Amino acid sequence: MRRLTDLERVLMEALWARAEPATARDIARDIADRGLAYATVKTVLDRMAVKGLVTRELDDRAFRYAPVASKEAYVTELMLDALDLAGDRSSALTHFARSVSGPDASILRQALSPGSERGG
Amino acid sequence: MIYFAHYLITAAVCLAAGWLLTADGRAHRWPRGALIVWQALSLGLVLSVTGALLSAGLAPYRRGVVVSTVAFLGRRPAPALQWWQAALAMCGLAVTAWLLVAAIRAVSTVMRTRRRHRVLLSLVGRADDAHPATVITHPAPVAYCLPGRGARGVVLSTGTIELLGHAELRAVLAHERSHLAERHHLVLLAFDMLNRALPARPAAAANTAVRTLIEMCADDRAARVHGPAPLVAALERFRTAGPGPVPPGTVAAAGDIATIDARIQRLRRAGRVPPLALRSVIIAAAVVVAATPASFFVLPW
Repeated sequence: MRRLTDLERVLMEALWARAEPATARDIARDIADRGLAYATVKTVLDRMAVKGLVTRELDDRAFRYAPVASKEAYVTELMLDALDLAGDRSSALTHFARSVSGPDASILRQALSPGSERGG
Repeated sequence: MIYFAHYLITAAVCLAAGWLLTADGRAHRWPRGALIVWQALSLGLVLSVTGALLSAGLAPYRRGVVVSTVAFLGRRPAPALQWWQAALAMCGLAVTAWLLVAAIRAVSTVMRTRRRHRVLLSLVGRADDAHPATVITHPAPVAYCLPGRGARGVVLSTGTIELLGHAELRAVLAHERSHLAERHHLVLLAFDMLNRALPARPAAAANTAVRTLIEMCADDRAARVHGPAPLVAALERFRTAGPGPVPPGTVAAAGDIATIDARIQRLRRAGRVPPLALRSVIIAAAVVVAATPASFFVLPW
């Protein structure tokens, strides 16, 4: 019995690997070697849509799913949080020894564009 | 009215002691004790300010603060309650409400941020066989911990793994794990809440001081296990990995370098904690400062 987060990661990787929105059936076929039932894939994808991790659009009577943001965008968001460079200094995390170099910091900040979604 | 004076004196003592703590570097000799003192001062300040306002305003009731407040809210008429006294009492209640709102907002913001972080981490982070931590792929060196994930709560970037040697990495992991073990995120949450509620500079200075002390506590625990040398080496590598201009919005980055320097010097010095007698006196004083206004809340006039 897989943990939900493992399932989500597998599906996200499959979505990131595709350049275009895909149906649950497409994804289930992509990861057929994992032995996941189509129903499981659809359920988890729908839950991820509710969580704001994937978008879901009805297209010709089937839902097509796409990632909300790229993997790089998520890594950048994590890094900005860790370095406390995110807009609102929520100070939720303590970094071991914070000293960010100039180029690194600006690259990080630029990569996360102002329009991208940040929400709980 | 004597209790009113007590409240004011306690508040003044808290402010003065807080100012001294930030100004005097000797607090770094015993970070755990300094943290306890900080928490006692904050609690004492909050209780004595609200207590002063409420006791001054509700003096005509001639009862303890809690009883008087209940009577005041229940609109039971008090003998000769002047308008300015009612105003003071309302101020006291407003301060209490303001602090409660700040607490709720701080908790919900922090929890929302951490929850979002946790979700993203489980998507893009990966477990590493070589190191008991979650690893994210990024060239900039970061090392931090996220409460609520147990052992997987320590997070490293690939930049950190490349930057540090084996012993240094172990020391950093021990440092981060001690943050989790001692639940420092709860202390940070309390001071974050105060920072949101109170005027900018004093509360922000307290917040910075507390964050530094928390790092020093974790340094001590890691140094006890692995010795100070690998930790100092790791700090120095982090320090030289990133000097440079401060990006906008990160006010305290220069202070961050100074913090790293203070931690390095402190580990190198390997000073001893103050003697037991002095430590006991400090803790006792802190308890008195925090408990005194609290006790007045229930005493009758």
